[in-house]
Amino acid sequence: MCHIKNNSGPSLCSDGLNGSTVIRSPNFEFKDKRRLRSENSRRAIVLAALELLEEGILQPTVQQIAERAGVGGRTYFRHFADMEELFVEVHNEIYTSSVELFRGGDRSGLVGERIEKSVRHRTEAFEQVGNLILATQVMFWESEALRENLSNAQLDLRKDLEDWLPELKNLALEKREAIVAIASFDNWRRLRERQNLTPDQSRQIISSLLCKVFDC
Amino acid sequence: MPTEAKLAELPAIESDGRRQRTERTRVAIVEALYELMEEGNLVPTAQELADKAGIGLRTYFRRFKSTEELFECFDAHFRPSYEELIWGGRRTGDLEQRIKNAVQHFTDCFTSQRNIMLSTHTFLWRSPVISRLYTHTLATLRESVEGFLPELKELSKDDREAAHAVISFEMWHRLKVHQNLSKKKSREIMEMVLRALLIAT
Repeated sequence: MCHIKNNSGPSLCSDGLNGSTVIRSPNFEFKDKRRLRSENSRRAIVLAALELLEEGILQPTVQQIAERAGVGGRTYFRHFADMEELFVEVHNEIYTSSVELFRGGDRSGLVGERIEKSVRHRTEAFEQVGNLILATQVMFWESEALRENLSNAQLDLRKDLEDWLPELKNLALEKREAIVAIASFDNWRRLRERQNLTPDQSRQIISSLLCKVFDC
Repeated sequence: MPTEAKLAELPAIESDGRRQRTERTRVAIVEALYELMEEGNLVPTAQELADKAGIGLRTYFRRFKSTEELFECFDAHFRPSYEELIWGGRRTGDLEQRIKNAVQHFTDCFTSQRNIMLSTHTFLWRSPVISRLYTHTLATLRESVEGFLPELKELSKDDREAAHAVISFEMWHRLKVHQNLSKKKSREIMEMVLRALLIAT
């Protein structure tokens, strides 16, 4: 979990190191409890931030997070020097389960069928993690770490699409990139929010456009 | 020019002058916001705005009670210029040519307004004013796109919506930033998809 610089406060990263010295200490139990409490509050902060993001508060303030986590502002700052550090930890917290959402689905059949099934499968996942993706995009220009996370996520999503549609690899670059863009979260979001279309209408539009570009 | 003393004798003129001064300060602030966004500061603070406009923080808050009010004033000041931009471009030629013209024209608009667009997207989720103003801009863009390509009106609803999603800032930004494509490639891709929608093979 050691992605970012450690501040002097307790953190998950320094556990191993502290652990070996703490064990021989006479007030070992006291220190251990304190460490546990500290880990708990760190975790409460991460979960509180995650909750707020999922509710659509894309840039929660320290006060909102601390309140939700039931900790004071000082405790908050002992754990997280800045918003970026917290965001990176939130990202790590949910990345694996988000990736799981995209996995699976029946990936057999003709191109046309697979297009339709992949669009349904992926857009259902988009609906679930939409606010988290948006939150990352809102912070995009402010955080190097999040930019990197987002570009990794883009890569994973592209691989996932290629897994649904292996034909992609044999297409000319323009077609391939067009398909990746049409099947993207950004296009989904555009249709849903900016063009006010329902999930079913948006799916229909994406599938039919993908078929057109695919020539199927 | 009337002297201070004369002004005092003419309260009507004085209050008029004050109103003008107030308006000048508001314009200076929204122009400062524009400059800061152009410099890449997408979410400037009140202090940064005041500094850029050459006024004190107290004056700033007297002129704008809230960010929403600032956005409203920014839009009123700049909308005429970006609407002029949106309505430009050459709308003549056969369909193939107009697809090219439209993609060139709108991607030029998106490029020149890039930072304002990005700033807008940063505020969209929490600002009802920005949300309303952006909806208005999208409607103007949509009308202008159909000015280039009136054929869109003949398409099925699905294809028409698909076309508007393709010739959008969101798509342009997606191709350029998230898919790391050049401007030229991104334009070619947009043209290709529009041709697939508009020119039956």
